[in-house]
Amino acid sequence: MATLTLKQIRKQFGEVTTLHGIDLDIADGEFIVFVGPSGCGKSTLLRTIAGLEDISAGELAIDGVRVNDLPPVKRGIAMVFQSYALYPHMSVFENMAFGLKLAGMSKTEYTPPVTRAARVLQIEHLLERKPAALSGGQRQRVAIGRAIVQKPKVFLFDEPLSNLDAALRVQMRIEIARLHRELRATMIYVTHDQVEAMTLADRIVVLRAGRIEQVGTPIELYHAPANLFVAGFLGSPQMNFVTGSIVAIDAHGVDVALPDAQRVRVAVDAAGAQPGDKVTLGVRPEHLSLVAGGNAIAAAAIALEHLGDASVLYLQAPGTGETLSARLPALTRIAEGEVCRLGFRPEHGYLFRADGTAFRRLNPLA
Amino acid sequence: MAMVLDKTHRFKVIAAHAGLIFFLALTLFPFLMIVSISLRPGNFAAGSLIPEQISFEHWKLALGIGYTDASGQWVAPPFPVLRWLWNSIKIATISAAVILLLSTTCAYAFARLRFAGRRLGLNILFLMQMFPAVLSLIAIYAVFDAIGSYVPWLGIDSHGSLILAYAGGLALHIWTIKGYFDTIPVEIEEAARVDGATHFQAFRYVLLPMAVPILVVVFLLAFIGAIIEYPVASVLLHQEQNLTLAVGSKLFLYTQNYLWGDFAAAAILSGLPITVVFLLAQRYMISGLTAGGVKG
Repeated sequence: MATLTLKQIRKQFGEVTTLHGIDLDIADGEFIVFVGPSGCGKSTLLRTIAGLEDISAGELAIDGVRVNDLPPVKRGIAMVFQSYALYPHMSVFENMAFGLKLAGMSKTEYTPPVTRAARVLQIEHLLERKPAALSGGQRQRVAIGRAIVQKPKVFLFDEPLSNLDAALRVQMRIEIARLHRELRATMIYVTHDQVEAMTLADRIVVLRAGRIEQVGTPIELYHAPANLFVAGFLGSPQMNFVTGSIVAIDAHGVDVALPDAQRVRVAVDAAGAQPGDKVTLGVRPEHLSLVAGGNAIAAAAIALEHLGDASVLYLQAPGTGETLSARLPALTRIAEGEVCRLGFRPEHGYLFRADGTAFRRLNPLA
Repeated sequence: MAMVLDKTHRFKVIAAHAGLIFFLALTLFPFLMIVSISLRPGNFAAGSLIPEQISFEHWKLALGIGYTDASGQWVAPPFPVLRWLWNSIKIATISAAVILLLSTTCAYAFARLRFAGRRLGLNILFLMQMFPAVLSLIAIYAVFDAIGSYVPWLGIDSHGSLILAYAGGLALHIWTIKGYFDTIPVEIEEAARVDGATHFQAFRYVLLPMAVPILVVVFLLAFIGAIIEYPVASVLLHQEQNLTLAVGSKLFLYTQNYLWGDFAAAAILSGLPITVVFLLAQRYMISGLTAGGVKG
């Protein structure tokens, strides 16, 4: 139960700056997910919050109290590591009880919370085992249990599911969501998996190269990305981008000319832009369809993948070498090299300025 | 065995066994020779491997019992061999314990803490260890002579001085332990820090239990090193009562009269503590202590 306030947090390793002034307010009980590509600083940010890395400049406050110089345990945080980081020489019970033992509790005091946490995580029958005798999913439960017994104000998760196989990952994801509902604790979760981010987060923080690109709910980020980077990062397959230039602007949208002179329409508020401005058109693969006529991009097919529930068509973007993708109904048949017209509704389009920032979409939830 | 084997396979197996047996014999021969010499009457280095006549006279002397020789004369033990053995065990145990304590903590600092001159310090330690102790004997003597005038129990002819001298040779052990610490994932100690452990508690309760095998190896190496060390011990220890077995048994070899039989018995005795410590240590040298802590 805690609020976090990050003010201009900076982190330097020698000459290298990995965090360039992070500002963020986290509400009590909120589930915050940090996402971003490798090396964007998301793990470093988590570790500075944990107290495993010192803060070079700026202020970190938990419940309004400055904690920059407090060791991890005094900050009231608990952390779950990507590699589990269990104590291999201790049994599951001892692993979970270690922190409480260090805090000076006696065996009669720390046994109830440990068994309670084990029951919540369904690992009661494993308490006597050593970590080596556990499966990956069980180890991760122990790591989470070790965090729970500490009764922290803030839970920190550093890519906790990335070492698990796909099926187990889904299951653990659901359990973490359930845990958040039950404990109502503030949780900060680092991942590079956008599905985890979209499903778990109250708010997502997208990071790139040590800076926050955008903070918002999953729906906001998906429908109203602030820039090209965020738009490209969330969504799978990735959003399609085609460069072009503005031809005409009116109250209901913008006409864009693609490099090979095709014209498409996007429903965005282009206030401040001029015809002739260089822009980037964005369309999500799931919004493209093979319906002929209307607002469409013509492109040559490269390959077709059948996923069972859908087919993903890859095409050569007009005028550039980029690959486009379109999520089409299952069992679609298209020959390689065939030119297809991929239609989309103007309100489904995104448009970005030359500097990467997005134009406001007129009807984002359409 | 359903595996299909080449016809030359059988020959290769025989050749390998023959080679192994040959090297085994080569290794065991000197040891068997010493056993033989210690059981042979008289003091002869040469002779057949299997003694024609078994005599326990050398062993009786070594164990401080004494015996009546062929002419009916009582031969008293010339030297306190058991006392030397005790000295050796005492010095080796204490110095190995001190070495273990210092090199483990040093290795932790070098492996985990960040401080100026870390890399330089490690290399300097290692380079200094390269310098043979034998070449600095005179310096060692002078140093302990000076120390002795202030702290008598660390001066020349004290066991304290020898223990201190041995404890100085820990650079190699620091490297060994640091190498092992480096293989243990840092996250495990970070988890301990998050659990509320101080640096020392993370070291004591998390890192050390995982490092038991390497600590046992280092203790063993330090122990063996101290038992068999001759040059430094011969310079620092003088009185007959104070000698270690390695230095003392040399007294059986007068210039005019080499008492090979007595020497052999003493030599085998000095192997005894090493064997015992090794057998005790063996069960701690297990692998897989760090398994399961992190995703491999």
